Amino acid sequence: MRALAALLLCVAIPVAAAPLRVASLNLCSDELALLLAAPGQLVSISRLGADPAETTLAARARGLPTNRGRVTDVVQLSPDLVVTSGGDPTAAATARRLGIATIELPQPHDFKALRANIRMLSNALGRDAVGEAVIANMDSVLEHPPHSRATALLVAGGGVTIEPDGLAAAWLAAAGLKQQTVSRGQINLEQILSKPPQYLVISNYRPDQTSTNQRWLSHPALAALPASVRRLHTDGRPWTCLGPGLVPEIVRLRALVAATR
Amino acid sequence: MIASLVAHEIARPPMLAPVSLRVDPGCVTGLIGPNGAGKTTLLRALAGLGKGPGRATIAGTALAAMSPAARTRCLAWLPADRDVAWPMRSDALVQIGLGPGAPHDPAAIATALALADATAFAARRVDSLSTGERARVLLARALVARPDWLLLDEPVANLDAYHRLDIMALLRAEAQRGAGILISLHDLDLARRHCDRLLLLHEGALVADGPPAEVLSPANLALVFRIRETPLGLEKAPPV
Amino acid sequence: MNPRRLSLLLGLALVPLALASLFWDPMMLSSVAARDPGLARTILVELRLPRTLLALLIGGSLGLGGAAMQGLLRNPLASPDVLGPSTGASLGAIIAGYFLGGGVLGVALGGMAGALVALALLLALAGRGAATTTLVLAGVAISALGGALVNLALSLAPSPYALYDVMFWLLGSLADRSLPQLALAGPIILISGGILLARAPELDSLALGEDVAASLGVDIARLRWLIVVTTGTMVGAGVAVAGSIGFIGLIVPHLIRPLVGNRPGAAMLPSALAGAALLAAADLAVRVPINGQELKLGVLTALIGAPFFLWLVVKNR
Repeated sequence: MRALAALLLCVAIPVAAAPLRVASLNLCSDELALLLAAPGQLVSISRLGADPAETTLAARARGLPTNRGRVTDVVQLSPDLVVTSGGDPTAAATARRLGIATIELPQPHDFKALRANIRMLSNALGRDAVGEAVIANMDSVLEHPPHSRATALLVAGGGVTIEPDGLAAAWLAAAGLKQQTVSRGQINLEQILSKPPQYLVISNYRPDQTSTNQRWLSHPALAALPASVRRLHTDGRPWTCLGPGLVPEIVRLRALVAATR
Repeated sequence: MIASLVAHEIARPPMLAPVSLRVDPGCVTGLIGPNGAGKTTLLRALAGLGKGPGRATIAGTALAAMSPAARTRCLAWLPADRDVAWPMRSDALVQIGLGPGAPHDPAAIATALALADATAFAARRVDSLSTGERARVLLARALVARPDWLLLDEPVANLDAYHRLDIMALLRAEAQRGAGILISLHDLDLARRHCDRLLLLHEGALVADGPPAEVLSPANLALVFRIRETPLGLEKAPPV
Repeated sequence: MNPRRLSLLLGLALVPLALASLFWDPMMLSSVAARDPGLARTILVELRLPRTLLALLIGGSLGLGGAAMQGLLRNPLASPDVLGPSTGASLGAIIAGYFLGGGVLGVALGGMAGALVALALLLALAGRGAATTTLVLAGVAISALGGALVNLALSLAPSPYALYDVMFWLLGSLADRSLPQLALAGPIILISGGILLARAPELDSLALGEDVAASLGVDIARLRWLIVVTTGTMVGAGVAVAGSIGFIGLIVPHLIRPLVGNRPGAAMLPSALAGAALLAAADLAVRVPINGQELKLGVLTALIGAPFFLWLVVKNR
């Protein structure tokens, strides 16, 4: 059904000429668009996509006008393609009603869906070759996962963590780490202490911001974990969208895991 | 020996014109006047409450300058309203009159309740009492510390005929032990029979001060209260 | 009941609650201790101890603050967690922590300042013997204003991360609190609470109105000021550490007052102890996972407290 929708979308886009005025409304579509689009093809990305605290690709967005995730923010730029990924669920419908070609990137739950998203967008941008190169780069990391599967816990401030069977855990597995079974995306210090993982992977996201969640990471109980629990730090930004931007981070983590085993 | 209560030029705008007077202990002084004459305002001022020019002193000391314990022994003030914020037991209510932080004194509480003929209500919650019954418990609250001075705002309002006379007799007994009694009254008959001295307030001014027979003259009754005496009792005076 | 005996009973009830809070899930604790005694000790000292003591202290401060406010205002609907001070504390803590970049201390100071401002505003609007309606309307207005400003602060949040963080914190929780947080809030609550408890006899005399209390030598202006400052600092420090936890200060004095002959002053110490017991019990209850997650403490107290509040309104109608 989704494939059919994607197909229809592709049909709706003029194939003759690639779109020249592409507006992206959400962080995850920003990241893919910044990776895939040709120079000058993008006319607007979301505020978050240009925020260096939110994405590693912010440098590529320099000089681009930003929007707040609404079609009304970009309509005066007369875009010929609008890309969304979550956010305001009515944005895509609004864009279509205005007669603008629109792509909605669904949230990927596995690599297959992620590849499909990359292909869908690169095709719409007329940049199939770039898309295939991005996928090939990604697959080069995924094809030969390490044999070791040490237990790990990826946590951000406040105990926010990832599901053991989602896309994030699949990325982590590519680094040789097996996410512990946790309940519902959040873990407390007691749970960590009572069942410590072999690797505690701390996701650094806006580390300079004072917040209760940030303070959680400096709780004395975390510091009291035994030395047998290895600590790794990871850049928290690419873990938001779980896109191909994670590749260098996974390569780095894999090397660290291999070196500490 | 209990000292006199002296008022120096007390004025409480907009109600009270400057009033200076001296009330002596050992007798019952009545404060009378029509509604709105300033009785409550004057009693409050003499009890050291409210703000305004002038001051009240006892033996040269202003009430506000006394320690809480000294103040509780020196003077008790009973307001005319009978509101109690919480449904407390009568005996706990009477205990309040001993002052904040005073030790529990069951004997003093029992005596005060007995004086106000409220012993039967000791263990009852005040919200279960009638207005008159509650008035007697509140009077016991004012009596419990056996203060030198009792400043009571309409202590017999809401009371039945028996208890009006009972309370007036009680106040007489308190005066005889040497206490100073100042009460406001609307019942002119009680004022005439049971007070040694009357202060008559009219439109915020003290207009007469003396023995009841003198203060309750036909002229004052007509001018201040707009009533006159007839062999059958009081009746409205014809408009002047 | 004699308030002293009631306090003793409540104090005794705190012991099993505190022990249960410390040694919750003994199976898990003993299995950890068998593997690594040091870790079990860390769980007890660094996590369970601050959590337990903060539950007792914050619950106690809410119960005591509620009893003091109800006594001062002679009004059964007054309480710091319903009529504005808690909302003020949340707002102050958010401004201090997220916009001024304050640390643990800054957040606590912001919380206290917010609670004080809200409380002073409440007393200014509905202090002197105001009718229940005036008090509740003023409190509701202050809460609404505080809530609107919290939402404004949220919509101006520096990042989506901060937004999530604040919203989560506003729900109130004692999970993963630390000894440094206890060291910050504990003394503030103990000192303020001690000062407040010492004024209990004066609150009894307020049952007959401010004038009678004044005629008995109570310095009303000073007492009012004292209650505002101590309640504000206690509640503010508690909110800064645990987020907003509602309804304890409203419920507890109502449960206690009938047991002590409805004397507002005599209800203070038992209210503090009962508040401590209630929050400790609630914090135990939230540790039973529902659908794999701990329920937020503030959510639970509101779930219990709001129906109680309604019942109170109906009863007083």
